[in-house]
Amino acid sequence: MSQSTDANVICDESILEGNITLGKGNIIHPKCTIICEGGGPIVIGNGNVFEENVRVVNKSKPCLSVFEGGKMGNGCTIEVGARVQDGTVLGDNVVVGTKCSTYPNQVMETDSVLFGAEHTQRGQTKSNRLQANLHIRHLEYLREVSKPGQVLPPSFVANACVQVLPRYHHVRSE
Amino acid sequence: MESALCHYDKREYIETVRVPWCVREDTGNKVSRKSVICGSQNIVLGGKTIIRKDCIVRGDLRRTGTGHAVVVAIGRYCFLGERCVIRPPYKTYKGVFNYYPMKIADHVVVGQDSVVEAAQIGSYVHIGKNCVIGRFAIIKDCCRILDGAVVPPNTVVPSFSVFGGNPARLVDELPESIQEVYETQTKEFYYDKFLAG
Repeated sequence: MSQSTDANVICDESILEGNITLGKGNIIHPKCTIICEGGGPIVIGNGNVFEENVRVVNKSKPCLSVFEGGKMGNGCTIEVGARVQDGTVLGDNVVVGTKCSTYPNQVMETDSVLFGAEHTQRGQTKSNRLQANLHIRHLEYLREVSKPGQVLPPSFVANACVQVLPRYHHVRSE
Repeated sequence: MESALCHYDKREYIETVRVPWCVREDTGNKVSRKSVICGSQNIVLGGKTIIRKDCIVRGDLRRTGTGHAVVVAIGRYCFLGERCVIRPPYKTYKGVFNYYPMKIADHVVVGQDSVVEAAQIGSYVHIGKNCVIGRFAIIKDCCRILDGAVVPPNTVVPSFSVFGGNPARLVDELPESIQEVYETQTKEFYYDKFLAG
């Protein structure tokens, strides 16, 4: 992979406000909202995918000094319309299902999945490599791997490594 | 679907009109300017389809490979409610990650705030509000998905069935007349209830 795998892909139609620290290689789909209202920071790791209508909110005020800030590990997927609430800490490879919402100050362990109507949480039962593999390929697919205007070699197309989001969206430069 | 009259601001909607030298029927689509349509070259609207505001249709998540690909095909007299999300499903098949095209047939209603990642939706289908249709779900003709239902991935919803709950299960069956009922409902909404001004 080229050096651009480290870059974050942030679609222009998304909203990011406040004190947000992004790691490397995150993908933020259009219409996704990450807002830091209270002043507590939001820390996001590497290689996460935020789909449409996702809301990541941190409303905590600075006076709540105990609070460390919404923290997010590596390789997480936040699916469509999901909500990650105040002070939630997500481990690595967490999947927050479609339209699911975390509790405030919930700590989700590494390799857990949030799904269902009652905030049901479980560990990933299938071999974790399957999900991790899918996630890596998903990232590769969505991310820009070539410079605009560069002709892709045929093998690249066969490997599903074409730029998808950067081709169709205005992408914010950091 | 709203049964009451629904007035819309004419400036907010883009309407596709028939051009005199073109005999194709795919006209009369009403698409809100406040909706997010990504990769519009990969989306086909069959005609008389209404897309409300803040609706997201992802045509950019296309199958890789050369040539033109239709990602989202929507038939005639379809209605996509406010804030609903239409995005094609993805999976790895034989080690290759890909998004796969989604087909939506005629007279389909998708309620507000619903998320649809189905592979296929047949004709005369009503999907309620706040629904989640999982990846690669197949919904056959003449079905009803109740409000707030969560249809798990890879589910096949048979014809004339009513699905509801989380996870969605068969709760009832529909009579054969439902085809005409839904057809008149969608046509009535398009012509008589969705009015400018």
